[in-house]
Amino acid sequence: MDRAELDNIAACRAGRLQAFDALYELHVSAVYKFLYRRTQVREVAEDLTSITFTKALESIRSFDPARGELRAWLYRIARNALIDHHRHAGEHVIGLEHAEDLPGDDTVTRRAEQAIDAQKLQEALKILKPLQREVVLLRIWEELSYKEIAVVTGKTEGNCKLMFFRALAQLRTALIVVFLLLSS
Amino acid sequence: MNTLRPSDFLAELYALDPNLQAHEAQLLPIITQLLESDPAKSPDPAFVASLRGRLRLRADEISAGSHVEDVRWFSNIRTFFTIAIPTAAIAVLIPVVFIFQNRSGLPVSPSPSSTIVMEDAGKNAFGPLTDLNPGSLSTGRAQGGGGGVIMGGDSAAPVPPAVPVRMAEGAATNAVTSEATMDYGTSDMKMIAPYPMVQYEYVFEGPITGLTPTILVYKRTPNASSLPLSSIASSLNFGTLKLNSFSGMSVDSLTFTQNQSFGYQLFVNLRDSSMSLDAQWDQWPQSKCTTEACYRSEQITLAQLPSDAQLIGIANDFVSDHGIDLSAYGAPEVDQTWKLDYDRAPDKNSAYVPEVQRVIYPLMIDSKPVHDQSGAKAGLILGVHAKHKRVMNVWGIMDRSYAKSDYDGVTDEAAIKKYLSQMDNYGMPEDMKAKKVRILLGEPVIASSVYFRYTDAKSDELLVPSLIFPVKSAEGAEPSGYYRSTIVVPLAKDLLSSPWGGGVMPMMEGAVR
Repeated sequence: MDRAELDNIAACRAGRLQAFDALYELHVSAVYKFLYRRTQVREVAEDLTSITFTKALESIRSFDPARGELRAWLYRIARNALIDHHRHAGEHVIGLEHAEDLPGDDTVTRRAEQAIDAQKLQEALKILKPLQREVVLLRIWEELSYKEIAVVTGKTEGNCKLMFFRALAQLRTALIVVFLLLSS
Repeated sequence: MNTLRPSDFLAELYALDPNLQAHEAQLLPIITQLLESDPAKSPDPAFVASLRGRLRLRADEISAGSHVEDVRWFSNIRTFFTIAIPTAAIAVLIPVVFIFQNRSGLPVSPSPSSTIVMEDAGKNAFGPLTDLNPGSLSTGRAQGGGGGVIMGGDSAAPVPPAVPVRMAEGAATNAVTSEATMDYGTSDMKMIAPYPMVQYEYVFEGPITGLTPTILVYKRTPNASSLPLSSIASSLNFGTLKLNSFSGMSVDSLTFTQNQSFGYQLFVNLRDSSMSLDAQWDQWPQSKCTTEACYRSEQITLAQLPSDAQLIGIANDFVSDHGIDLSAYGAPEVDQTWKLDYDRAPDKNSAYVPEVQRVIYPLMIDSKPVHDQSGAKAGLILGVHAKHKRVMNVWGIMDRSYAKSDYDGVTDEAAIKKYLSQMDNYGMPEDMKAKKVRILLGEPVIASSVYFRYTDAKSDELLVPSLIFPVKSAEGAEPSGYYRSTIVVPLAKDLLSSPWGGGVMPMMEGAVR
């Protein structure tokens, strides 16, 4: 976070919530894109963006920059809003085999995968566990640092780094298999 | 647009396992394809502008201490049921028309008087004060930003009690290694670079006068009303739903919309006899900016701000034009708190100047202005748009009926000074190495401050006599590390000795959901 962002956070924490305006401008596009990637519906992404920033505004006084990046905190709120949305929409369909790995809701990443055109890649992504997929997409699409991904997913930074590494290694192997299957 | 290239991700992988370089031919297409498959779209600028406006209003509402409504109040209805739009419009408009055409006989009084009505409720009539919402307690103590505490979010939001946690100075920039790093939703305590811990010492060296063994505490007793749905259900026909099939249902809020240039939206809460006025956003000019540079160019500058006298004049005209009763309020003043940030900003060109300036008419109790937990004056607040030179929103129009009750007051100066010395440091281990910041306080005044109590999903608003100390200086603080200009110390014995005396309210993860 740069100095201006820290100053604005400090001002918000001091009760001068007008400073939230600048924080909103800084992050609204990234948060919206994160939500759009996972919903593919503009209205839903707009709703969830609204919810995310309103919750953030109402809780900004409790945010402590010493504990992590504001961006990661916003993504975490957005992700919770997304999970709530899918639950309310009745899309909470999760295989038991994934239960212990769930980042919160499989649907979050499932929708995102559907956006990937490449058939082979889609097939290969299916072999990843939901949390692995989430980490890969947070890193590649959202360009979050591992530290930020850790905040968003509730895992450790080292764990996230390792998951990304393993996921890519698995994808490499899986793509070879998928390629063979699709070619046959 | 992605700023990282496939080679950046590959480098990360090779750092973990150099053997993967042998498989670059397979890895590169995976990453490239993922990047190319990114379905992201930028948000509609109109949506961004609209949400910005709503957030500004919400910020004003929070600052004014208004009650929290469901966060989904603005939810995009079309997302769920397109039929809900006409239904909602009918549901609002018909009752409003009905009310004003048939007011006689309906138990609705949507025009709360702001004249203070006092009712003597006897001694300790509002129960022990120890259970006042700790979030509202910490709100006051945490106003420092750098004040070293975690807030309970909105002061009006029900927040569960939790273990106090000592936090670091908010605006400090130099991360250093410390064992005091806080966990943030993960089990890895060493994951995030910590900031220096700060221990604040609040000092008032003079005598504290005016303390009395008995104090008067006030509790707001709004005249709750509602409109029984049964009385209007026969006039409503939604086709798909029989309204009168819901027994006991009532209308407890109304929204009036003024669809003309610079129109307003008036929200009437019948349950607690309060009103608020917002800009009707689609009727006010909206920024068409889509870039940061554009927004910056539109940002108002200090030189463009109307004078305080002009802002107060605009507010006074609005109050007069719309018949807002000011009998419970004192002389208006312009909120200057944002200037603290502005004055400290190294680059004044990019420093934040609020487009909407707040004119506060302080609520007066016993001829003294009431303060919020930050020490700022509370009452009727008008947001004046500095560019349009119009009132944009109004908060705090409400039924100002209060009951009053005697409570034991604090007369022990030493107890107050002890409370001050422990403020913001509750929960900090004795042996923790922390930077010391000495806050020197000036001569206090005694005035009421607002506290909230939450029970059974209902909130009570209480006014408790308090010492309002001005902050004179913060010795040893970072230039932008300490923001509070006032410190509030309650004079109710119950409150001063509560377990939250000097305590803080950590943000629970669940509260952000």
